[in-house]
Amino acid sequence: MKKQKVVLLGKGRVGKTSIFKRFLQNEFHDNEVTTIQPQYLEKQVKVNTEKVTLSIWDTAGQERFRGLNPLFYRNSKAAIMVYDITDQESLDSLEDWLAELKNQVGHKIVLMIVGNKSDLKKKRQVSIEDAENLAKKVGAQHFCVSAKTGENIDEMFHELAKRVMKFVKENKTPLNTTKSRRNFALVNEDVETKKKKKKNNDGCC
Amino acid sequence: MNLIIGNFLFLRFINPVILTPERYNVVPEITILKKHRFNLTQIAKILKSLCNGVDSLRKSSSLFKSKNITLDLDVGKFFNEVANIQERITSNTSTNINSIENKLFLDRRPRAKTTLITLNDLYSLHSFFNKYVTDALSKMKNHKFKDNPLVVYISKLVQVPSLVAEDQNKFFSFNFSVTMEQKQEEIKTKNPKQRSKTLKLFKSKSQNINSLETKTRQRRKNINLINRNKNKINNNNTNDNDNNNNKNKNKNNNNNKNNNNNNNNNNNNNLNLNDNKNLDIKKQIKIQQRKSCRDFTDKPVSELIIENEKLKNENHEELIKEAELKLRKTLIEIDYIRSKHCNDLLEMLKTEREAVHSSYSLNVACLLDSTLLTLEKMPESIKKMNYNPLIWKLKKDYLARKKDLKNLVNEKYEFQEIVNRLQELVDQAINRSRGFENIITSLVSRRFIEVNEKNLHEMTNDIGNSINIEQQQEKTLNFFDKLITLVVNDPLCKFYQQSENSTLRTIHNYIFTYLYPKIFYPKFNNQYYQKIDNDFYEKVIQIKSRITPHFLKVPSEVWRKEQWELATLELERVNLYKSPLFKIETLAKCARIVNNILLYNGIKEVGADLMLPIIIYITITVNLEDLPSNVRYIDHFCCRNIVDPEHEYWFTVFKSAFVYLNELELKNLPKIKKKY
Repeated sequence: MKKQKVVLLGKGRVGKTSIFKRFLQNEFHDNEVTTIQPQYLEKQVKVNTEKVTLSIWDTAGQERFRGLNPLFYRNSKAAIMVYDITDQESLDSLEDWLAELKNQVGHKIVLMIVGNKSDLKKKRQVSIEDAENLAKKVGAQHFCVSAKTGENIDEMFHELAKRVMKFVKENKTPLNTTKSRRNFALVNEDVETKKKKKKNNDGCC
Repeated sequence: MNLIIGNFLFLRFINPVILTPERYNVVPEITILKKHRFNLTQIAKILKSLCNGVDSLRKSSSLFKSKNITLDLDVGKFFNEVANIQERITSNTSTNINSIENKLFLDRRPRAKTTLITLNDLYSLHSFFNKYVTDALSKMKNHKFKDNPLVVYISKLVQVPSLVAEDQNKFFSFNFSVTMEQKQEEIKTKNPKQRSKTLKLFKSKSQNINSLETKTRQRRKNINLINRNKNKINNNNTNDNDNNNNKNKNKNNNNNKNNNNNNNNNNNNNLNLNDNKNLDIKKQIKIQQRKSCRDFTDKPVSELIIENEKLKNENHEELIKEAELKLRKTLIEIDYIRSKHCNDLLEMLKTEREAVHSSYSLNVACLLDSTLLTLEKMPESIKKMNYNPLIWKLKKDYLARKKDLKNLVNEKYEFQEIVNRLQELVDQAINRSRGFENIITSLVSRRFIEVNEKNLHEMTNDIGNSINIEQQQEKTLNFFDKLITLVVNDPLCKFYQQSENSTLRTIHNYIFTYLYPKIFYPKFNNQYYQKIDNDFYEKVIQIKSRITPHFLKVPSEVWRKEQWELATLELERVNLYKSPLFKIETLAKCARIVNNILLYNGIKEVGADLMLPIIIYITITVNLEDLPSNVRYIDHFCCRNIVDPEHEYWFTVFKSAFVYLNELELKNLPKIKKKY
């Protein structure tokens, strides 16, 4: 089975990297971690009897790099949208991300909405209902996890793998070549827009 | 006799002192010159030849060649005196024990049915045990020292009695009716369970007697036999009794005489019983066996323990050996599969060669021939080793076995050594397989390229001649589609599926060395793309002058120029390669170096949040001359199916850095005050 691409999205300081790290710690023994870089992770997850290899891509969440994220979406089978339960803004910004995602990839993607830092229940600002409503609206699944204690992390990734499996089986593309062509077409557009912009820039200078 | 004693004395004791007196502190602090040494050796030689006799002395030493010197020395007398002093001591301890050993255990001749043991023999045996019990037992870890029956038994004996004068040194006779081997087996068997086996032996014998009795026809002939058997049993019984007695004597040396009397009584009883019917004998035997059982459990001899120990050791070694054998077997099995695989490949190549000879160029034929030769000449061991998945399976097997081995082997055995040995085996296999794989992939891909040379050239030319970028891209994509199907359907690639991906890569790289000049700066828009590159280059120079790491929010403690030189050097290497695959690989390497540097600085959580600005800053500092073209080139023409997804991730990171820089407007940058 081919490797399935998963993108981690979310505002900066939300805890994407720590979720990543926790998943890595749970699944790997100490000796094996050394060769793995903390921004990109490949992991086999067992779903019942079958195995899926998830290749998870971490993305930068800062506002200024917002425009670069679409580059990362391409060909991804799933997206994990992370928000902070102590920060209402982080959930609100997710809606923008979602809109952007749908523009780029269309509806054919597995979505996960994950509230991180569930260990800080006292400081909670985001109500679970809001998050779940949003999840229902876009057809995503909602999880509350804690990267600090490791709560729910494995369950979340397991569920993700399950849904990705299902998704891949339903949308089987006969050959990879068609996919790559689509991919290239997208790139083409990008480059052309860049060129136009560049011309403008040149004019300015 | 004199010769032996003399040689021993002089060679071992006297001559070494004469030759090297400084070592034995005979002469204090004198440096001995060569001359001195020579003289000393002469003296030693003479002394040595004295022991051998005067005749040999004349022959050997140059000193005595003149025959003027005559020697009338009775060396033998001296030797005898030396030897005589020790004779008595040895006779009482070590030699005596040896004799007992010889009598009891070593003499395997079945004829020796009786042996004689004196009282002094027994005493010396006792002293021997007393001396060496602690030594013998301290070597055994499994038993607690105090609980050991031998210790208990010896502690009961209290003292070693002094040796008796020769007049009182009585002889005790032992009967050995059972052959010595059986005897030794009995001694070996400490457990009552195993003892029961010998019981069965006795039973079967008596049953034989029964059966003989029932067969009335053969009575006359068999009477003698029965008598013999009876005698045997009788002997057995007496033997057992004697054994008991022997130990009893050991146990209670003081009550020796009483025991003797008892023994005699017992023997008499036994004899009487033996006259009765066989059934009675059976019972008697059983009782006796039980008795002896008890005796045996009470009094294990040290030899027995040592032997047992040996047996245990052997068991362990056997277990280890078994495990190793199993491993070897799996190795051999895998080897077999491999050799089969290899032979198949060889045959494939041979048929291929014939086809090539008839249709293609000499070049290809020569190449095939040479590869065939190398394959055939390759040592059998290397031929066998290939095919990674099998190796991994082997490694798994090995790891599983390792656990088993751990369970089996005691701490005593140097487990590490065994493990190391096995590890070496596995490593060897893996290394060999790698080498083999490389050979195979290069062979397959080269053959493929040569065979499809015409097609490839046509295609590359076609791509080079296309009018605009879209056409070029479509053509290359179609080309790679075709290539993939070609490779998949190629007989050799199909056969060696493991290498399919790697052959695709090598072919990909090969083709791009031709395509690169045609694609990187395409003919039709050469100047346009070069201008883009130049503009971008100048823009980055401007950005570089205005931007600080702080602007990108790269933490200042991370940014030290010296540290990042490695990463920048790696990034500069991108332009060295023509194939997009290599370019992507260098990008990934660069990212890896950055990660390592961050880890080295003690920053643990390196997410994309931190990584992206750093990479952007690195691209600014390096300022590749044709970054836009590079990005376009990789993006358009790299066959995504071959690329490692991790490398692709890093490419997108760098690409996003490029896009960021491209979209960055100079107006928004902070102005540097000095300039204005």
